Amino acid sequence: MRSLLCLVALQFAASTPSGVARRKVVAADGASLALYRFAPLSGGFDKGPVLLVGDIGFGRELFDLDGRGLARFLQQHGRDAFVLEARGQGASSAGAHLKDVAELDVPAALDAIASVHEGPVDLVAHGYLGTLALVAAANRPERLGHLVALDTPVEPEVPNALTEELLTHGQLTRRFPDPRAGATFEALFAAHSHFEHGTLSKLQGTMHSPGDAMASELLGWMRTGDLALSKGNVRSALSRLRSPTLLILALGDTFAHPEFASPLSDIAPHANVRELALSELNGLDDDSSHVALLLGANAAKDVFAPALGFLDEATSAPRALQTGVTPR
Amino acid sequence: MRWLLLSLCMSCAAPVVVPLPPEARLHEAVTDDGWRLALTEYPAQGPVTGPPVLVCHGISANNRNVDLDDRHSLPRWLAAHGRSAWTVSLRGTGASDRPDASKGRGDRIRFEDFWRHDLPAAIRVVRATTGAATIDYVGHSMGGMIVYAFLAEGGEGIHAAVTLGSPTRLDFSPFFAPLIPAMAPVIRAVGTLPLEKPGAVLASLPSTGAGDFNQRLLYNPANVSPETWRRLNVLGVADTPASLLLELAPLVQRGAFQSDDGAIDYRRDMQRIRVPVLVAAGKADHLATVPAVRDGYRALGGPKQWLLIAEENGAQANYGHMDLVIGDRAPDEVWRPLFAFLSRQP
Repeated sequence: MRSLLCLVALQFAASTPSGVARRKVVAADGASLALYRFAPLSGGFDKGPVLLVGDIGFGRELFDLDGRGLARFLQQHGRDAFVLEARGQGASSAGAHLKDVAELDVPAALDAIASVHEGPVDLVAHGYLGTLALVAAANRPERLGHLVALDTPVEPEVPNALTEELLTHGQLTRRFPDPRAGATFEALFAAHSHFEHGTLSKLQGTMHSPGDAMASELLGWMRTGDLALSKGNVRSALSRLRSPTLLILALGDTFAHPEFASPLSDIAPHANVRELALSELNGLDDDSSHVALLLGANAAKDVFAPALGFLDEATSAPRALQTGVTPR
Repeated sequence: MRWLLLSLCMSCAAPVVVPLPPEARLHEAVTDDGWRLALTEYPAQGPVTGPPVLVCHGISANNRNVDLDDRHSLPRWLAAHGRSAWTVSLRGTGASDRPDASKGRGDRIRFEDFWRHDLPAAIRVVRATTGAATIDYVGHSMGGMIVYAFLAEGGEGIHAAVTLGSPTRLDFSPFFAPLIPAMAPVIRAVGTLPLEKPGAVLASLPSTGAGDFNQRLLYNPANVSPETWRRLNVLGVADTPASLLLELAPLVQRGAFQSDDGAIDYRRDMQRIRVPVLVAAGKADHLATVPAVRDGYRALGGPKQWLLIAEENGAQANYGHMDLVIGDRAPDEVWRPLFAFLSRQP
């Protein structure tokens, strides 16, 4: 099973930026997933890998846009960063069920990383698909190290009428490649946040439709407050979460409201959840938003630095080394 | 020279008085532990549309905080919509009794005093005056926390309640928590934090860095004009007992909504509440952040409704903490939906 799950092929896509390697990972049901590796520039692999999972509708670019983003940040700070495009995202297969992200895609990525790294994998999880990545972490605690959760809803509601309309009519991302939808994109994902010039329009152009089925399931999740899995539901799965977790809340998020994510500490009492709310009151330039968490003008200072600090603080000893590398 | 300037400013700040309108009737309630509380009644205009409504201010405030002037007064708005509307100044604020050791009123005012003594006394007077069996209640900020505690611990007499920007935890921001151990000795030594007169002075000064901080913490200038803000600082701010600030410290340090001695866990007990509650939060509230307010919503055990005042939900601008009671568009964007909620309750 492991060999089947860990069918890893080295493929270098012509369009992949330098410093990044794209690999094809096949999930247990045959879905083809894209896994991007941002190996540390220094060459050292003693700090352990980090898996990054971005929200629905977005792809790798959420973590690496024109050479900027969390993947690059981690890479520059000596981390081996892996960005997973789950089904329905970017270059990966289309998907029909959100639960497959938790039960098939993230486990497949973890197994692929295990082929080059012994020891635990840290996780950065963003938005609704990030919540599903947390479920995967709860199901396989032995594989996970520390978790950083970015506005990961655990008790969602429909955040606003705009979201409901877009999900109902399958327009969540179908509309966004149209540059004229910029105002809608900004209202939903980037309200009142600061970005470098051109960031939002570029990101908007990379959005990828998750398909009507997954959009419909997401709306159902929002309407009922929970999502059924093959066994149990998201809330019951998260109650088993044991990995130390930093929950970062963007108070200005209009897609995945921070108040949908903040109950994580109640739902997952064994995860020792630590919370960080991004607020103007804390000297930040804005309250942040769904994509500003990852691509805002101040994301490196306000999000990446505390996230990396959290990921680094737990391990006082070097992680297990990359297979084949001689220990120092 | 600085003291001369300060004195001049204080004298400049003093005369901005906006008297209550002629229809306002003053009442007094006496608590069961001997404190006199000042209440103001606005009789219902036109046909009565529901039970009387008691509107209660938050910490460091008095009844004028929620009844500022004709345009910025929830009680006057409610009265214009057919409700007998009341305000109260909690003990130690406004025209209510201040601490006076010679009369047995110590300066150690606690949060528990508000829900155990002040609120029942105010409810008694409203019911006795109007003949109503039960009343509706709207609490802003700590005023909402008071009704949570009151109802959680078995308080009676309330038909339906609305809380505006009322947190049940304040530990999200790393800004406040480190201040408490540093400031606690100073606060204890001071006894009462004098905010009334400095508030008036600050209000008379041109906007400085302090003004910017107030904006970030307390309101959104897109909703509140400078003139309204100044007026609030002159009329609606109250000195704050150190005992109260220190009692609420666990709320900031570890998100614990509990009694001073830790014997009562208000959040846990809120699941007993069966009175319908509308919980409203402002998207740009940096004091009672939305997650902090939502925490209280989650804790409620009975019928409840969530209302987020935000651009994404139709407001012209995201709402800050004080905007909920003094925002220029609050009558349409906040009070109308809260009134609709109260009106729907059987």
